[in-house]
Amino acid sequence: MFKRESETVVILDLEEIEVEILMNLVGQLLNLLHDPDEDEHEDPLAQMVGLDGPTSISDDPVLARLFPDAYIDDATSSADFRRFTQPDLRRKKEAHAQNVRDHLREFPGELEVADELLQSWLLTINDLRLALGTRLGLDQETEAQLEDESLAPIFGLYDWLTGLQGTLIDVL
Amino acid sequence: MSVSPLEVAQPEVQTDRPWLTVVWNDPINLMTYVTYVFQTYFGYNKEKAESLMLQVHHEGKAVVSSGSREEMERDVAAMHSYGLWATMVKDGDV
Repeated sequence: MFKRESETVVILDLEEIEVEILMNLVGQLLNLLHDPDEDEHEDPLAQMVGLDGPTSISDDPVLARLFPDAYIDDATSSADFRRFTQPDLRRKKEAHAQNVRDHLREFPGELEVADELLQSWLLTINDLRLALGTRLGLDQETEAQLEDESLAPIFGLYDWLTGLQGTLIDVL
Repeated sequence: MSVSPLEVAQPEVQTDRPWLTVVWNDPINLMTYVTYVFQTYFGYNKEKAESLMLQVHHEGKAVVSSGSREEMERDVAAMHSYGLWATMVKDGDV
């Protein structure tokens, strides 16, 4: 959990099992965010300036939640917006998750979190909650899934991340 | 010989209505987080940020900013980077 030690110092306290869980979740998030097309992009200029993204919302509910349409009833504008913004958005999410993964390698323990890492932690924990919450069907608020006991461990993780994020927001 | 009034070409008036950024309620993002985002990104004070967050929560959505289309594209992209569910619409189409 996060706590503020002083005006300028924020501490994160993680036990070994918590580090393992976060490593695993962040690894899954990075796999999800990774775009294989970018490894061998046909147009280096487009890649450099961040153009040429996808034009339609993902079939994967989690990716659809992380990269939603920008217009409700305008498919053309939504496609344009996505093409121009999604590659950059995806790269930023990936970079934040990588920062968190790198920082996790220094744990377990009670360690100071540098200012510039707080944002990476905040956004990555939020992406993890969005991913797990969407997989759990919380976005649909379906009773059936809430009663499915096999999902109980994922609910446990989700609740733990909610608590972790709460302590982070408190220190910001 | 009659003198016809000078025909002055009228510059085309840009009747662009301002655009709006709308944030939608979702059951995953924490209320404190949404408030934090409104304060941090838009620079709203705590009172305004909380009131917008509560509007999202109770009414299902809230207009959080307005401006040119380009500005709203920037705001919507920023909201997406924070994981908030945001869309943009022309004022009057809400």
